Amino acid sequence: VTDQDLVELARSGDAVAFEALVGRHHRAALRAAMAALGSADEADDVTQEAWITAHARLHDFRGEASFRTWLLTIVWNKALDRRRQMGRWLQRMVSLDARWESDASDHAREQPTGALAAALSERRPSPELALLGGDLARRTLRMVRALPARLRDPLLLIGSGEYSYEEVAAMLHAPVGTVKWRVSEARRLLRAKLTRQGYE
Amino acid sequence: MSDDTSAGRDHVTLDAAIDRVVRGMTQVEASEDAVFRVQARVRNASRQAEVRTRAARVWSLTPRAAWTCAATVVLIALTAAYWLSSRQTAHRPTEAPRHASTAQPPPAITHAEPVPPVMSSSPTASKAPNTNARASRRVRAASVASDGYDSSEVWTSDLIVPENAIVMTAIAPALLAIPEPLSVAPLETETLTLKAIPVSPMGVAPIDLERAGGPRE
Repeated sequence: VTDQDLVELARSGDAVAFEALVGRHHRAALRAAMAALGSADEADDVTQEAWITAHARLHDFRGEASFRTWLLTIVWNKALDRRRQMGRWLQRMVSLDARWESDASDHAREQPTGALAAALSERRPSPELALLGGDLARRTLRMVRALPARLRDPLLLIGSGEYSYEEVAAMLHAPVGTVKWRVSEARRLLRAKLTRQGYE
Repeated sequence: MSDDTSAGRDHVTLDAAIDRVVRGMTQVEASEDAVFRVQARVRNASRQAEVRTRAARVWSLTPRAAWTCAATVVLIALTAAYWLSSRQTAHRPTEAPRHASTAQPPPAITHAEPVPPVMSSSPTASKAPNTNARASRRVRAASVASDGYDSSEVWTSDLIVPENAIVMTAIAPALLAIPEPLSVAPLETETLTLKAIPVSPMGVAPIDLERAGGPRE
């Protein structure tokens, strides 16, 4: 059963069909919100709001793009609204840095990434960060957060490995070429900064 | 050559580090509980939307019903008012005054307009200087007292009821400065002279008085 079939069923009032759509795309929606907000709780809340909005506006879905792209656009817009309204993004990043510093000093040197991952995903450390060295991960993390939003957002979305360039372009309302350039520029800036700090 | 290779390896290392950090910043697994929570929330939202839709339907119909009721009440009231007024008009005597809005203003009396003889207390009263003014005042008073009644009626009553003027002129002619009525003395004469009545010839032989009145043969 394709997404379009499920959408048609959900439009006709089939709640099970919409729940199937939720089961299919909830992870992608959640990761998009996570890329924008940096907090698992905020991302979960925003994703739920996005699903409710999608359910309410299901009749407005014209099928010009895929349901997944349409949903991700809703999620991204909701996440940006949340980020602008609450203004907690910078505060959370600062507090996470402080938590990471304290955790790094308290815990053994061989487990710094566990604290960072727990701070990022809140009780769910990612295996990628766990495999990375502590100092390089911390510096890279700070540099990524210090990037301007127009470079950081496409880098995080593409770097999550969840979305194609076309989907990211639809979410950011930018051409695919622009998204590619921004991702490349973000990587170049990060490499240059890490090189200046002695990582070669 | 080896430097280039090491530099390339460093770049690969840095890129790999960046990728891992970036992936770690977005890696969050959606648990089944989260999916169930989302489904439950969507279900509740859909129920609330249905309730809101029903309420919106009710509220969208309520103003129409209210307007319809109000229009019906107004229509009934207008119909009843018209029916009552028509009924009162049917039972009203013909001489009863009509509504003021249909009344025409009474014609203004000018000095050139003669006062009806019945209003005059004497044959010369109509020529008195204050008579027309009094008549005009009576007309205005009558129109005011009639409280907007028909102008024709006012005019008719003014013509029919000049009693006040008669009484006033009869009781207090001096106060109203009306001259005394003329009295015509009986004609008394002692000498009556008759002039000869001219008679035109009619082709008939004159009557001989002597023969006519004379002794018969």
